[in-house]
Amino acid sequence: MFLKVRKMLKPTLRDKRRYVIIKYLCERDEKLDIEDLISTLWKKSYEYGGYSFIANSNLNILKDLYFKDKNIFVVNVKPEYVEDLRFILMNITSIRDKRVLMYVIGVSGTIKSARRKYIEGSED
Amino acid sequence: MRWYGDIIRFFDDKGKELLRRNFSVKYLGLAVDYKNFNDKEFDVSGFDFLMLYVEEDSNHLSKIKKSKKLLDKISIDAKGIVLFSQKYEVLRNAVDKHLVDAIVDLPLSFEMFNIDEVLIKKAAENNVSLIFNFKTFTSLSRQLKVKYLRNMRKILQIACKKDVKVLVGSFAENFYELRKPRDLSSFLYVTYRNLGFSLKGSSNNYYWFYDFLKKMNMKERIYPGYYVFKGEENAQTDIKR
Repeated sequence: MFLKVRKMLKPTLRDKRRYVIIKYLCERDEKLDIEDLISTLWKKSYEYGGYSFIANSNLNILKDLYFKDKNIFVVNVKPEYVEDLRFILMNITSIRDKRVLMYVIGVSGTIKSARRKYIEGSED
Repeated sequence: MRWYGDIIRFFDDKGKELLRRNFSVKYLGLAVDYKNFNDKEFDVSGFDFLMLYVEEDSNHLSKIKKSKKLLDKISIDAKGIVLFSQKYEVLRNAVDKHLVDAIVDLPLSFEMFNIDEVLIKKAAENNVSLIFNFKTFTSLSRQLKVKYLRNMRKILQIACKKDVKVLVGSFAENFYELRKPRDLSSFLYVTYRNLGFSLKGSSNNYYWFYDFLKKMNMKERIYPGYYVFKGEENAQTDIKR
């Protein structure tokens, strides 16, 4: 019996990605669930980017990197699609009938630098 | 380091703080309806420039003349008149006679597949800038959003050719309508990319506020190629064209 080991691609062949750190401000300072954020972001990205955008951009919302205290969550996309993601985020005006303001704090290449620069240093 | 600007429609200390601190807004403009404007009541101390807006009406020409008189009384560095209209004839008339400094919501005034190059050419001659209003874009239906983006792309194509100044403003009326100016620039980028421009190619439009303020006679702060701000220790020299 041979164990099938999935070989990882070499670094040059892997898809490049950028971690986009996003902050939201909700009405009455309420905290939103990550599932609501995921559903609205997917809905809007279907509306503005279409299926091809989601397929090509490798859009992925990282559930582990949701900081509910600081209203911060992290999304990763390909570097070419960061501007498209900004445009989609701008068009989110409300979640569950609550007015929401979303904006990008920063973009980084690794999770480590994203934590150091934008998440740990930011105010609650 | 780049500095951005925005145009809003309300007074709120919380909003101003968010814009200045978190959104790194250097230039902040206020757009006020000329009907609501009284030079004694309004405190425009936190803003860099003021714009009186006039919506098209049967008496819009007389309103523009009145607003010009109002502007003369106010002591602020940069000021101008903006016309909100969805009628082509009204915009054409205002631009030809050089009555206004900027026009807003141009993409809505055009019929589908019928972009007129003459209006933008006249705007270039008379130094009138075009402003895209993000607030109206969000309030439109799906069909009209498609029309808006399509017309915007065609307008930008002609504006690049004629060297017309292009701006994007959030025109927020409350705190939750504010948008980060860096994000607002992606609104232009989405259309620019379809025209074949790269992000670097469209970067001139990131400096739209400099052009706008330069037009508004703020020559003390701005020099061609380099922008030096008064009252700051570190002069910015990294912005080049």
